[in-house]
Amino acid sequence: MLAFIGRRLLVAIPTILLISVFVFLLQQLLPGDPILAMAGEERDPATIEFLREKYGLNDPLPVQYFKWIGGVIQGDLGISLRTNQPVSELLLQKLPVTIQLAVMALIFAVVIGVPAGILSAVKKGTVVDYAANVVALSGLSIPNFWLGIMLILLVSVKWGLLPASGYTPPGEDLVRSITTMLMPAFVLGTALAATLMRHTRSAMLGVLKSDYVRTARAKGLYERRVILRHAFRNALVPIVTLTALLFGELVAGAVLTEQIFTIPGFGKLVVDAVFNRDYAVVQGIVLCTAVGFIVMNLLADAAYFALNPRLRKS
Amino acid sequence: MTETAPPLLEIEGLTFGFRNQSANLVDGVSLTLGRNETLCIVGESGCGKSVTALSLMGLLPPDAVRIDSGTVTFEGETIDAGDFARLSRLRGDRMAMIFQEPMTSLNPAFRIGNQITEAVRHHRGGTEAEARERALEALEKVGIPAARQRLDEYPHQLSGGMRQRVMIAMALVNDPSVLIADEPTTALDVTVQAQILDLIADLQTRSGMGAILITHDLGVVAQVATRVAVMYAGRIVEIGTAQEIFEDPQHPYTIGLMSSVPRLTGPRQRLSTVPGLVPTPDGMPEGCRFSTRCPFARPTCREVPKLAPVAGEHHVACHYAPLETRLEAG
Repeated sequence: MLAFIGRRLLVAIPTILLISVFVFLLQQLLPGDPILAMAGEERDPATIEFLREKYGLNDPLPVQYFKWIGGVIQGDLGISLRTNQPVSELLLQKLPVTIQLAVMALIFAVVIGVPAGILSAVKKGTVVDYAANVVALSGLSIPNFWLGIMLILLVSVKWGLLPASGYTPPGEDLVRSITTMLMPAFVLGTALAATLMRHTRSAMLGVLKSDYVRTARAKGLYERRVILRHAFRNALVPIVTLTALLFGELVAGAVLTEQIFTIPGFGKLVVDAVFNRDYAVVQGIVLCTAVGFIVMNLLADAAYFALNPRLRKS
Repeated sequence: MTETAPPLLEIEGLTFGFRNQSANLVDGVSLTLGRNETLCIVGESGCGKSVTALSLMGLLPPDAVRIDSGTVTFEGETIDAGDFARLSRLRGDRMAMIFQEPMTSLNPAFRIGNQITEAVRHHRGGTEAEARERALEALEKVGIPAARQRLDEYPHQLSGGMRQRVMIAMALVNDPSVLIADEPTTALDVTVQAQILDLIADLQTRSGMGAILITHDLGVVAQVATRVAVMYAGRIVEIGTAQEIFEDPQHPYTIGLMSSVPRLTGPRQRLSTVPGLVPTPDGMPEGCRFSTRCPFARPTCREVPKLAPVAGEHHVACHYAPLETRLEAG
């Protein structure tokens, strides 16, 4: 198992490097020049030249890249062109917020999507199945921002049950932190829950037809045990894969959700950075997300080992 | 089966079909099974032999199948064939079943030992350690070498023959009095096939267990059967002792089956087949269901032939039985 994870990690290194090159070049293609913005109204050529030199923008591209990646490896992601704060500091500030949102959203997605998927597979072709599918389809088709706004209107404005926006760190006030994040996490989680439900359903349908499920029944086991132990355990492999892949969707969704609920997280950071052409921050965020994606896939691979004994041998 | 002792298992007038079809999948099937006896149910694919077995175990999907009538009397207790709950209490305990596909019939995610102890603890209770001892005994009984080690192995680490042995061990771990085996050797190599059949026969003589063996392989039937039931399109068309069926087959379908087995001795000749296909449930002919393929079919065949005695235990459902009469008439 360790060898397998080690091999995966080795493969991850060139992947991350490739992404870093891509990220670095991508920002060269972005229109606009932050130096011009910094230099002010007069656009004094001497000032511009000074600033270019200061930020190393006069070096050839490969030199700029190696300078940058060298720093990245040491944890230095550069300085925000706008706020003059180190990018790593900004990321460390915002990352926990988004991780909290993502984890809570994922919990919503799993808690809703997986049982609904199992239920609709077991009750295939019945009212329960159709109802679950209708709910899932609406979950997929209702846009995040609309659902978010509606929830704010209803739950916060009309009923006054939950705060409409903002963020409280869990260290400060855990209950408040969770209640504040409840609505955004739900909004972000529903779309994922729908995807998860449909995949759980099809995975379960496949597994329920298998010979070993029939064997489990022939042993006389209760149907609940047959479904939850014998069938679900085997359906978990595709479900875990999908959950790891949903990470991308989660980050993309977080950007929007954080805007709606004005949560000072990663999503807000990236939007602000892009609008302000804050290259260093954009690079840091994209790189960070890419690493997050790779870590999620690694975790999924590790989960296969626990789930599928056939893999353990090789 | 002796005349005096009541049979171990008696099926009476079992009739069922799919909910969305009017024709019956299985139509008025009655069978008995005695202690130490091996009853072979033969017939081509789709004749209803497997679903008959599944219905005994209460394993038919209740939302797709309607049970019209029939009772199962098992060790003196009569159960309605539609009473899945009561049947399911027997299965895995007093009545066990093994299947055709040993490669896929074990759960790939769990250890062998665990899959067996689960069956023990469900029916017998007790601790995992006790169940594990029982599982070990069962594995040893079915001739698995290094059984203690196997307990902690996964199905993918075993060969097909070994997996079928594990299936048998799992089925027998609670000492059932009836074992139903649905084509247990079809997916195995011929040599392994013989081993598995010998194993079942051996376990039977040791415990007096009755076995129902479902197969389309007449070679297997000749090897192990005490009695044989020939099924066609959901009905039993002929039933008798193995000797009676092999030496004096009466139903035209049985005769067709027998002559479609290749022989190593005698002159080489073209293999005969039964022409045509089994009718589909919604295209069942009236009366004798074999009449559409029968070379001897007559207008009277539009009436359902009763399963009538020929000699001894031998019964056949054909208007023209016994065969001699039919040949003289036609």
